[in-house]
Amino acid sequence: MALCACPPDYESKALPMQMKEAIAVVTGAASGLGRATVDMLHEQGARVVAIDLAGPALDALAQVPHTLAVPGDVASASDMEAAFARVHSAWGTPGILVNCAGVLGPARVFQRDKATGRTVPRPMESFRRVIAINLTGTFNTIRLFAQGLAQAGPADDGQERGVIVNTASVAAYEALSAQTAYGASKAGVASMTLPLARELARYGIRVVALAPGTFETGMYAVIPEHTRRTLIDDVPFPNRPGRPSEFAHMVRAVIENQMMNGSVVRIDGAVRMREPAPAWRT
Amino acid sequence: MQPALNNRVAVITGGASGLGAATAQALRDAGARVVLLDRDAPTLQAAAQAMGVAGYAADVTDDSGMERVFEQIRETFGPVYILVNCAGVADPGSVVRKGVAMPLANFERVLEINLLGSINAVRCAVPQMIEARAGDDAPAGVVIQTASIAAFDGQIGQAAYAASKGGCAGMVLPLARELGEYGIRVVGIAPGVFETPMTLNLPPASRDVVFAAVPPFPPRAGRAEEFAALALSIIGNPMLNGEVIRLDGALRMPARL
Repeated sequence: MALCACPPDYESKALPMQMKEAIAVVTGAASGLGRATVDMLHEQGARVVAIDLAGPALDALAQVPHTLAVPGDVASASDMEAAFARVHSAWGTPGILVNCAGVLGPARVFQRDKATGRTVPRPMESFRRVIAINLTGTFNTIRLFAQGLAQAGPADDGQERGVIVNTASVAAYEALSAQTAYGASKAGVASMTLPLARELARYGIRVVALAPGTFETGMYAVIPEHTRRTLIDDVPFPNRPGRPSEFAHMVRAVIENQMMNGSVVRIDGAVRMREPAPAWRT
Repeated sequence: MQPALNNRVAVITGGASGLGAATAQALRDAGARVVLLDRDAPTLQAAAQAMGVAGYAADVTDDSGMERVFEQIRETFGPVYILVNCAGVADPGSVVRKGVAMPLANFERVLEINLLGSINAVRCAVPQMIEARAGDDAPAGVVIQTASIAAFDGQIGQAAYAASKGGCAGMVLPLARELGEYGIRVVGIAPGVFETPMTLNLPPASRDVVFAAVPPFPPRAGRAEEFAALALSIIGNPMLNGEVIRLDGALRMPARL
């Protein structure tokens, strides 16, 4: 499928047509940044495959027209293989992939054992889970999405076949304490943008990552109130958390602009994350 | 993707051609009141006429001249709300060529136009943006800086150009931090290889080097309209601030080709 037919008299006016009728896969689709992206894609006339863990939020999304809701865990190879197989048989090959599934999973590297009072390492599981969902989960859908578009062989005609937008985070650059796993996972997402863009260029697939700052999502809601205030105080302008619709606006800008490729774009109101002064020092 | 700009004043330096002209057209289509600045008077006149917008012959390296022009713009059209800095020159040159050091004036000229020229426009535009702010929480304007991928991967012969564009990129964050309290956003675009008069009119040897760099995808030079589209996306998205966005089709320039 041609995502962008780019006529010879190419003009910016012609851009918004590109998403019409396209098949778009969104992970983490049921809430936050993912849900806003789904809404934007629908507004632009795309058909949306909404992937998220099974639950009431995904059930509600399933009722929205032009939506194929597919429950599944992005960290599971077989779940996503089944999900993409279902998309291919129901609708065909998707041309847009937006990876929004992610968890914060705050965890310090050690903890106090309540029974003995001793300081012990935190179990690997809490780190492994964050990496599995945020980083491996992102790669998991990319490999299957790219496989679909690569079936036609190299894009010798220079035509665009697909766009991948991944969700990194400003934590890829300035993660706070207890965000070791989160920061590492998001830095991984940011760092694989360029090699993926280079590798998938031959199939006419672009890869871009967005690095949001503090946004009003479920992930934000779990941050303690005093930390939240510090986070927002530091945002030069606008001095508020970002709105998921603003994230979706940037996703649209990336999809519509063929020259956007291999970049990681911060969308954060110019914030650079600052570690609040620790309680023990004050 | 088009923000509603109902008659907000948008000033574009280097607006008569290339990236600037395409951005001016897109802003005009989005409803802005566009004012072109360019030092090349005949090209400026032709461009302004073709677009049906205002134009002032102005040299970004002229301190008092720029102050006067911005004052004229304020009096004629109202306070500036958008500033897009596109004025720039490439001027490649080796640091040492045939055993002779580059004249310092060559380096200074590139910095004067690309780096100091954009600061010059920013300092003239910002007071108007602040003055016209509607309220304490209202957005007050947007500054878009044209950096270049040469800011990050400059090639042999681009010491001056890369340094100047590195400066354009480097001032985005401190400007965003400084102007945030007034509701002004500052964002940079770092284009890769684009087809503009600046690149097309390079000396043949330099031009061949630049255009030999084919991005992974799309495998072609960028179009000025794509730069303009990103500029409009930036203006329309209030959360974008303090960031320099690469617009290069995933191109990373090698040292030489």
